[in-house]
Amino acid sequence: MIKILIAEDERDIRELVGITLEHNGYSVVSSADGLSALEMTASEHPDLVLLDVRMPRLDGYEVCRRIKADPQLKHIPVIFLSAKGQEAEVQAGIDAGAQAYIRKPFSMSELINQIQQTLGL
Amino acid sequence: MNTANGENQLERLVHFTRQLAQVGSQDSLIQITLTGVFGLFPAEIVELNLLEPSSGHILAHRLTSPGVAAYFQNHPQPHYHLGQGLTGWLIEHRTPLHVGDLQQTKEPLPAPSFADLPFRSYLGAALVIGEETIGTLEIAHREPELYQPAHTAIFDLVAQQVSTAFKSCRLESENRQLIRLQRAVKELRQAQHESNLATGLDPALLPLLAQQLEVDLLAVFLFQPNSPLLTLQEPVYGEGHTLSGSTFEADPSSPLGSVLRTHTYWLSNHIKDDPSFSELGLPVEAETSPMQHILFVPLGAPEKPAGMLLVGRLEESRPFDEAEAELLLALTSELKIDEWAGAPQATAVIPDRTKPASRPVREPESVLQRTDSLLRLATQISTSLDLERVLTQSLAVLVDITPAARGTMLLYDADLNRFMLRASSGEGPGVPPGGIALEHGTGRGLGGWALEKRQAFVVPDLSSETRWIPFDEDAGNYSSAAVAPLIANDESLGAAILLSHEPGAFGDDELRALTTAAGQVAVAIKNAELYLLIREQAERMGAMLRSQQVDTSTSRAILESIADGVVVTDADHHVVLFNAAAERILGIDASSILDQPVFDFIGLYGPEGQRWAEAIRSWKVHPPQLVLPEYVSERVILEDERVLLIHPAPVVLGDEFLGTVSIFRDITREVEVDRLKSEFVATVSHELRTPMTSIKGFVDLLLMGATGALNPEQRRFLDIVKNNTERLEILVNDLLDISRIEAGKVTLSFQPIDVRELLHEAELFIERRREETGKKIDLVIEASPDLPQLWGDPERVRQILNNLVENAFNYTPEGGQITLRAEMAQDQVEIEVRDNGIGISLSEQARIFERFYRGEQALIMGVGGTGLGLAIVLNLVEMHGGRIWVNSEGIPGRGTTFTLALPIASKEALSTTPWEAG
Repeated sequence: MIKILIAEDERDIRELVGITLEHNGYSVVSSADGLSALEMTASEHPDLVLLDVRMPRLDGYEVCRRIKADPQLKHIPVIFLSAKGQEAEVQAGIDAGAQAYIRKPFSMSELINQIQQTLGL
Repeated sequence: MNTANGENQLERLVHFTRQLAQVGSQDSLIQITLTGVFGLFPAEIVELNLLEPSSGHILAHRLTSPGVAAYFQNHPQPHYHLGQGLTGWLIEHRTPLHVGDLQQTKEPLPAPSFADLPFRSYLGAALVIGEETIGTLEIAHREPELYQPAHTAIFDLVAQQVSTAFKSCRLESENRQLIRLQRAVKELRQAQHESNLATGLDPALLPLLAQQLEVDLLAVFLFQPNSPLLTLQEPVYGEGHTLSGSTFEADPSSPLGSVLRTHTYWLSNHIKDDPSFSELGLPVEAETSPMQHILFVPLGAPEKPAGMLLVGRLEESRPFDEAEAELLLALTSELKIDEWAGAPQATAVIPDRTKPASRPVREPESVLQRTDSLLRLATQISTSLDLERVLTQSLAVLVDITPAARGTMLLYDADLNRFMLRASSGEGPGVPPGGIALEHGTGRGLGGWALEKRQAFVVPDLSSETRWIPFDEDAGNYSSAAVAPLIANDESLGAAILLSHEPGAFGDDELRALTTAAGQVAVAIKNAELYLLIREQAERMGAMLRSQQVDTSTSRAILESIADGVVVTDADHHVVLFNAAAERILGIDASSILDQPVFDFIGLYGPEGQRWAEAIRSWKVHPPQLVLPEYVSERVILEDERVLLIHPAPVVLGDEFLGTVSIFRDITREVEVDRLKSEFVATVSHELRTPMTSIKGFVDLLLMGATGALNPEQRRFLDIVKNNTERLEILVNDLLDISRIEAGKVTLSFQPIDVRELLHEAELFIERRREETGKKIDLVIEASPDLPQLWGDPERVRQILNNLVENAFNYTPEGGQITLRAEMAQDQVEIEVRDNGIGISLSEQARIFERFYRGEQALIMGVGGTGLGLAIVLNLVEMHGGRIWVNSEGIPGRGTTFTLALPIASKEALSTTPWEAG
């Protein structure tokens, strides 16, 4: 089963994404801040990481950069989920090494489509 | 000389000429002239040389700078004579002399009186009144080539003014003597009357006469009957006189005889130094006599002299002058001192003087009148600067004191070589203002002849005078005339003509009066012209300076008071204005930067400052002429993180580059406010998006059946929630968009865009909308195959087109049609989005691009929207350098056409780097 890590400080979104993914047949692990998201990526080895940009302790960009800087983890695709939808911010996410950037508010079908596309399914 | 100095000099000149006009005595006039000229010109020496008419000596008066003064203390200059030095040259040539460097003159000039001193620059002018030269005015400086054309012009003018002042001063002193003599005549007449002597002189009156004449010796000699022997009549007035005999011979062929016969006076001042005195054979020994100055006048008629009156003075400092002599002559002829009441033998010798003369005999009072009148005339003339008044009053006086029935003034117009009849008094027609142009010029007519010969004359009989050209009908009615030229400073101004009905009405006395008046009038004409000139110049200069000062001070005050920093440079890039705000903003003291090259401080501001400096430099090399330069603006971030916006601009007048103006504004606060605003909008939109994500997501979950099957009503309600969430999402996105566009935060990434591809995307967009809404709308695409590429930001152009298509879709009812058409129009591609929907009324068309404006129909139809779409579209189109307009008849079914014109990608555009808008 494909395992996806969702890192999001907003509890409602975390739950929404978790239910949606499980409903679509993915296994889900979640984290509420950047630092634990980085630790869980190392410990859980998910197949894909969904990152919020603005998170406590460590922001999403930095989490992404560290994942991509880690030879053990850098193959794991990263998708940003963010309310910061301006071009510069999208670009910053791509520069940090992410595979995609989804702007909030997003529809669940949009999310599932993007995950499938990223995983090459 | 700059304008401020020019104004001061003009003020001093006006002050000086006023002082000159008010001066009474010659001594104070000398002082005022010296100090006035010294103040007017850069001179180390001012020399006023006056010709003493009685002795022929030149007396030098000097004012010198302190350094030069020491020299003259050690080198006292004696009086010197005519023809000596530059002074003599000036008097001889009667023209101004301007020498740039006395040590390097082209033509040899005589040495100036101060030849021992190394003076280089020199200005000199003869002081000339009519025919008479009264002296010279000279200034000099040790620095060569110091005097500019403006100096020489003013110097010549000053010399003329000084001449006039001296002449007036002399006239005034003559007038004072006239008054003195009038009083003498009056008193003597009264005494004669009381002594019942009709024609004789009572010796008892001698002390009175001597007192009036201010003489120390007074003696009367009368001819013996039919004899050349002159006999002294006792008593003689005067203490200790040493007349060497009571009788002496005055043969008509001897010098003394000829003097008596020609009826002129004879004077000898400083008799001990005068060799001609002893040759005359008067019974006065120059060596032994205590008299210093001797004057005698003949008695009796010119054709038959009766004797002579001899007067003398003891004081060396009181020589006789010509005016006194003239007046004594007049006095003796008036007093008819033909008899000597004190000596019985004299009664028989009187020639026949009782017959009336051929010319009208003047009554004694007429002398009083005449002198009075001339005095009045001199006063009036010297105080009046109104030419017409001067001429008319002078003529009125002349007609009054002479037998003339009419007096006229002809002024000569050198440009036209014509006389103008400018004034007329007495009989005959008046003269209109500006005068009457006459046919003849110099050399013709009596006036022309007088002017050419520079001489006054009498015409006893006009009927036989061939030169006479009557200048009007009335002028033909006269029998005799007296004519005098009007000459001032060698300049021919015109002629004065007196006319009488009586033949031979004018004699020497009248001619003398006319000549005197003509001299005064000529000076007055010159004065009036000069004053007019000076006043006009002063007014013009004053007005100019005032307007300049007002302009300058106003603009300076404005520049100083505005809150923006202002730096003005001149054409050489030197800072000429650095206002208080500039000092504050840049933290630089104006005094440290004024008059310095502007680049000195621009250099402090890094690469942005360099671009600014380059702009300023390029304007000097290539002055922007007809076309205004591109608007240059630079943002400079200072070390303390303040942000400055700098707008430099050239100042160009015609095609002349005058300098630059740079405006600074401290926009730190604006930048900060802008940043806070963007941050706020970003934060708000972020904060809105997160809850919206939850709402939207959980609704999606419910609709997906994640919590079990939904009944139809539950599904409908959830659809409503979902639609409104989407509206809210669009609103947030549009708000964020427009605030970023208006804040200039949106940058465009320009690249070529294929139009057909663009239309295809729009087609896909409509297809999706059709799927989403189930609304049946036909789409027609008309595009020629050879359209060039557009130049724009693909995402933004897509946003523009989708917005227009979305509107067309929303406002067209089921079964309608949307047409997308693209074609070339000049150098742009026009894309039409046409529908056959509800249309837009004309009144609404004007407002649809306003923010938050929503049409009435849109609300009725319940079409969702924020009212921001077209406002964003308009902004984006303008950022692309394109245009957008709308056409609609406002009739449902006829629909609406939006036309979008965007620039095509030129070869140049394709090769340039992306350009930043905003």
